[in-house]
Amino acid sequence: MPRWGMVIDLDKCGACQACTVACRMENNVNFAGPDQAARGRVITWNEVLVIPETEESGPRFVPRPCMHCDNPPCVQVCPVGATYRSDQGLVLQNYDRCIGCRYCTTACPYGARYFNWQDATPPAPMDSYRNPNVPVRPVGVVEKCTFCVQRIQEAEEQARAEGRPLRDGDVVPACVQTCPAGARYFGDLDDPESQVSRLSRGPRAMRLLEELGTRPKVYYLAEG
Amino acid sequence: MHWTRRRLLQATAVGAAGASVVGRRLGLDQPFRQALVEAAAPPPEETWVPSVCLQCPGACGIRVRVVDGRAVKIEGNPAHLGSGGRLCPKGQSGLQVLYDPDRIKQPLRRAGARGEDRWEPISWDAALAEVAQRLQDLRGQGLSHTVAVVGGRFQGPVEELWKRFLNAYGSPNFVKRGATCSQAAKLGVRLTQGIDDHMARDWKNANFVLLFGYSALEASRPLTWLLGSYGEMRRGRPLRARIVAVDPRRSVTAAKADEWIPIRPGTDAALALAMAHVIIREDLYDKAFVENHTFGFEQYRDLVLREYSPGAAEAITGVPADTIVRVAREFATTRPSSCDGGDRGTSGMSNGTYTRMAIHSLNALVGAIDAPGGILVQQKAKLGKWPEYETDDVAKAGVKQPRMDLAKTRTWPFGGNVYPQFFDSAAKQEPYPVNLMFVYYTNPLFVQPDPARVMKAYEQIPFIVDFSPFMSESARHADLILPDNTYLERYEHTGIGQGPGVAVTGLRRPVVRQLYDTMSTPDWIIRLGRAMGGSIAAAFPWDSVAEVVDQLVSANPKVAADLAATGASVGEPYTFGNYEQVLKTPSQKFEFYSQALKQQFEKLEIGEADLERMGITARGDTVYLPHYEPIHISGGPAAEYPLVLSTFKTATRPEGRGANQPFLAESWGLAAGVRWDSWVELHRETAAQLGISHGDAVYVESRLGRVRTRAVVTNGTVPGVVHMPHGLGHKGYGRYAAGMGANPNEIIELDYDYLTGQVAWLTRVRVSKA
Repeated sequence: MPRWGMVIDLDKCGACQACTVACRMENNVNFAGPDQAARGRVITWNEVLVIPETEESGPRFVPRPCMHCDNPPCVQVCPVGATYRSDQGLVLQNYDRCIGCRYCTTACPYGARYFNWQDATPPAPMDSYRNPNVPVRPVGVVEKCTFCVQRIQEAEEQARAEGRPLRDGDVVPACVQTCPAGARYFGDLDDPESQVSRLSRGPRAMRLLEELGTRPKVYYLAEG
Repeated sequence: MHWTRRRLLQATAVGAAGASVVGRRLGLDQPFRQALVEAAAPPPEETWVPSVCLQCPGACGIRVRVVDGRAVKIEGNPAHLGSGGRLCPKGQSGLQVLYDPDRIKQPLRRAGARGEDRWEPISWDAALAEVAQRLQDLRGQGLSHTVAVVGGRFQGPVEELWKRFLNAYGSPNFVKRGATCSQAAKLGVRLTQGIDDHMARDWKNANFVLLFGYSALEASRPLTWLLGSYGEMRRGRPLRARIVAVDPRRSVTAAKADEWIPIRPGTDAALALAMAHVIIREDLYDKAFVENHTFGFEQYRDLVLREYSPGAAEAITGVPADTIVRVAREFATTRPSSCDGGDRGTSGMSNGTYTRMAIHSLNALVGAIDAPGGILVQQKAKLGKWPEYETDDVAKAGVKQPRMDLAKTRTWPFGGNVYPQFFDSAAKQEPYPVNLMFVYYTNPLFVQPDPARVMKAYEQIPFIVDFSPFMSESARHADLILPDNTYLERYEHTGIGQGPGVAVTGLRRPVVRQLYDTMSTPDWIIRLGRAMGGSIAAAFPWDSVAEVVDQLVSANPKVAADLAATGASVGEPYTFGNYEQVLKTPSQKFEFYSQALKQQFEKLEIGEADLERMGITARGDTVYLPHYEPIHISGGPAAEYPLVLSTFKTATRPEGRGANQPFLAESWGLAAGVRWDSWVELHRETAAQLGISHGDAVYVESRLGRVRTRAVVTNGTVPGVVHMPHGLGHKGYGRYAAGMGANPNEIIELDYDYLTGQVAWLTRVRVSKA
């Protein structure tokens, strides 16, 4: 059973935000528009965080998907069991169960969860680019990065149809696929030979807010 | 094959009524009801169409996923070297161009006055007939030369088709808009290396890259390829390359570089020449290359040693002399190294050409010309030849008339296309009035300094045809709109203009059937040519642009086969050190002393008065050598407008376009923390002096007027310089773009690099709380 994880190399990242845009296109995340954006309601499953400049240094950029924590605070607080951790280590959302209380968005220390304040369908004909492999979420539910679970399923179906196991590199989430600098990697952390395993064991590897005990599964490789 | 399997699986699941099968296949995260509905529907027709992006002229290869005739996702095409299967944020946003809800859906004829936004539909045939009639009338009166084409983002055959039309019709006025961008950069390379093109950069093999005013990770092309090179330079080889960015502003590139060197805007030539001083004085230059492949080294050496000590450069640039010495030594000893001044960057200045010459000369000093890790000449595939055509006497007389933009006259000795001059001449009706203007893939009332100035030209031109698919501010002031297809609906071949050096060819093709009653402009030009009859029609022996593309491409069987198979064709590996091909100067060497410059000046009899007029203070041989010409900044006076306005581009902006794409607007200013808006960056000290805090509404004001925007306070700039991004502040262009942000062009007073007619973008402003 794979335990999915991601590695993001901050030394290769060029802060271009291709990941942010590709994810929104792949996962039917609608734009908020200027008024809602001013109210802080932009939904970016992947967001490039900016660590502000200091006296000594310029800004630093950290792309942040969902961490798919192995000890997820969001799952612990959900009163209706709408968010759950799958047997492959994905923290997923059952949109039908979600009551929109937003307890989980508060519990997440990474700010990775988003509430649907408004309709997720763009005006025609932009609704034409809806990805049929991903549901469109209704107003009033919480959503977040799924590590492109639809692509994981596709890859698994393909492997099953061909009668072979999944290989390292079979699953490519949208952000990983598009990253022009090749800074993002995805794979099975329980396979010691996978690229993400090897990179996560390297000297530059670190995780965000480890001290909170969330056991995040996105590793960052330090710059410089 | 992948998708056939999937359809097979789906078809089987539909047959089996088990809800658990459906649930497992589609995943627990989906609304169950939707899952049932989709399971009952027939499986969608799905295909991937290879094409080429055109959010910028990088022309990265893409593949577009199309489901049931809807384009749903764009990815990079792995077979295309420019994208390598990846794609920048602009490319990912491309479907918002295709599916923009405010696209123009059919040809429109103005009803009411210009700018009143009253239109009536007109058929393609009627529009063609009207335009053809007007053109015939003008031709009959001996006024064919008063017809002009201004453009644009040309790709594939359309540039040649326009030129062919104007040539056969009888007008010299084909005016490209490169003067707003990279004319002086190209000239700097042409005068020293003899190549009239953008250069390719072999960064993957470089160990030290020095960038002057060049945010390569945001503002260059192909961006996907440059970011990929950046990733390689950092972690793709055992030795991590060093990157140093010289810039008045701490761009994202400068923030990611190992060192940001703040510099006073427009003074980069002094820095480059002082570096040359150190490199030559300490004997660190590539002796073999200099001795065997350069001309004029002695004069160059004498000049830099005499006039450009690090101390002298510090006084001009504000960069400490110690830093200049250190970076010069690092640059010269960390080989392979190369430097670059960007496309607009350091060249969109009053001294742009000389600055580029100074920067490019550093490449010659360290042997980076056509070497691994250095600056290369982008190869292009050899395709078919265009068929010859005859022109009649009317045409011959027409093309002999002087160009409205005064290109290659004493006014602009090296100006190939002087876009702003065209409009100024048209406004004054000198040397003659413009009677009909075609505006193709450019937005003159938005992209130039001082658009109010351009409006005066519009008022003098009685008939204007615009091909924009969007109701831009320029289209709003046209008389006839003949909407083009978007790039995802067009058929044209593309070559990478600059990138890896190796030739890369792509084929842009419609990924879906075109959405509306629009027409690819090259198809329209062919129809127009045919409608004109006579020798003009004979110059267009095709029915469509697809025919043209097929003829040109099939002349190279390998390229044609590659394009058919994968949508991309990659040429032979790059041949380095090919000096016969890449040093095309009179001496066949890299010319520190530019003979081409001297020859053109002699031919045009440029004298003392001309040098003064062009703002060139150098005299004697220095005129033909790279040197620092004191930067001239438009507007003023300095006492009333004490700050300098500089403009920049973010990675989220596709050239001058993109404000109509919500995904880009929503991520517009990452480092500044701004969405859906413009901003102006001020140094903390400047802001403190003016009593301005981060986020305050402010006015940025010049002699021309003022714009209102918001302040971003930072230490990421040289004090005394403020920075605004280009791309927003439209007065049209649809619901997302109109009224969003501010256009700094409205307050930028037009100024030039007088050698080329390159726009010099710096202007004097003041900033105050709103």
